[in-house]
Amino acid sequence: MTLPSRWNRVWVAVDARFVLHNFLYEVPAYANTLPYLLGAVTLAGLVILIITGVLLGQFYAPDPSVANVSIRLIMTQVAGGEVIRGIHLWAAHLTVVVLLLHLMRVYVTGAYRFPREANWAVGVALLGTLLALFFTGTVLRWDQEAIEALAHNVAFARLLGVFGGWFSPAFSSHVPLLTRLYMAHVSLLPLVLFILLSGHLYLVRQHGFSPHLARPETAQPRYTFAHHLKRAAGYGCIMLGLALALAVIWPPGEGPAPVSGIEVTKPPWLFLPAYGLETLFGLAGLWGTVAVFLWLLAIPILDRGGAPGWRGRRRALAAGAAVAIAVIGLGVYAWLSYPVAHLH
Amino acid sequence: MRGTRDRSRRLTIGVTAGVLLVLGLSALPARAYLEAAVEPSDALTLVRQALAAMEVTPPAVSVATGKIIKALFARDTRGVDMTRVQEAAQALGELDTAAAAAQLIAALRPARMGPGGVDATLLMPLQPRFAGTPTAYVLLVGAALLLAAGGLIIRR
Repeated sequence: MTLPSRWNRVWVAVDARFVLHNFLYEVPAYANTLPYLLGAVTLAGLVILIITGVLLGQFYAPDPSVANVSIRLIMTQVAGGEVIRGIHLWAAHLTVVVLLLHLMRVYVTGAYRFPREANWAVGVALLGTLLALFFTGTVLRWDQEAIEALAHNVAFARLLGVFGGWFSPAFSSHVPLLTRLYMAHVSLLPLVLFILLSGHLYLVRQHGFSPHLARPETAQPRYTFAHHLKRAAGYGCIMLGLALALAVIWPPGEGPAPVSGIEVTKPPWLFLPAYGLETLFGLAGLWGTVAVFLWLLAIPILDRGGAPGWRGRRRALAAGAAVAIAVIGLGVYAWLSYPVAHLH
Repeated sequence: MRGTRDRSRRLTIGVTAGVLLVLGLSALPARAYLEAAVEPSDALTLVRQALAAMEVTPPAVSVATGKIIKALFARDTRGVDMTRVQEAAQALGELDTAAAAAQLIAALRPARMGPGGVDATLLMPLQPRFAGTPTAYVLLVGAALLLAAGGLIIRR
């Protein structure tokens, strides 16, 4: 009989208190491949964003009169400020890309089907929350692009009637909208994200990993969830390395202090499809974005029954491809077109 | 059978009422949005708008031209060097956008912390480039190490 090593004794003591062995449940081998790790890599991206965001929050002043200056000071006076800001921005882009790939993987493999419909809905809500975080982050820059994004936000809220009241500058006349959006960016939306994420991970744990279309689960060698987390951490390191390299090679700039009443910029790539819709159909075109989200939520209802493989889901896959082509097409159209005034 | 029909009827009525409520509330004019967009008439704002139009890529020349013309006819010219605005208009006429932007910035210089509170340093974008300094290369080595560490963790 061998005596337990010191590390084993530490593990036993920690595990007795934190019940960490619950994370050692078995997962199939395919769960450790990149397509099935994209959700966990998104989580790693969020960790990077939270840490860099907390650091930036110490030096950012969410007041319209000084917000632009405070960003310039972060870039020029705060030690490491430019790099941290760069990592935050690039990690935000990379996280959204990974999340969209995760969504595509879940869609293509039909992983939203019974019994995972609720988790799909939570995932769609997470996508919306992440887009809202990206949007509010864009506004916090408080340059020309930011003020125009905010003007579009206020105008669309007007279309929503009383439901858009929160986005009105008059909602809280003595607190600037920028300050309230900052509050949303650093507390309200992260809180929503945390709640949704907890629900998402809980449901993943309860239902297990969605089945692989080609590989039967029984034929798979099994690993533990700890192994899955370790690989996700590896990809997280890669994401941080990429964000750092991009922050050094292409550091993000800061535009001139904004002036309202003019529209001469275009939004970040993520919102270009919505911008394209606005160019084609006016402000009401933004309902198209709402329609896409409603369609995403309705997918588990629309695609029920039939065989689980690709052959049994031809219509769903065709619909997904059509929406993807439309979204990409609108994005390319907006990217190529000249900025136009939608509001003035 | 009848129970199922009643349930589906109640569901239909509920959903319809919900939709009507949402649409009705959306249609209510929110008092908060009664403020109308007002075209600025002071030269300071118009010149700043023209400058904003000049500083995007590619410069929105037609927008900038319109704003400069309005600024030239503005009654309220406080905080703006109008001679510079005229020179900006001339430069724009010659399609020299860089010179026009420089003239507009110069036109706003008297306004530093004056009317409108324009700080000239904030009128220009701050666009850092790859510095090529030892610190930048150390950071790049750090990035390479992170990439290698990530690769190692994935492979093990």
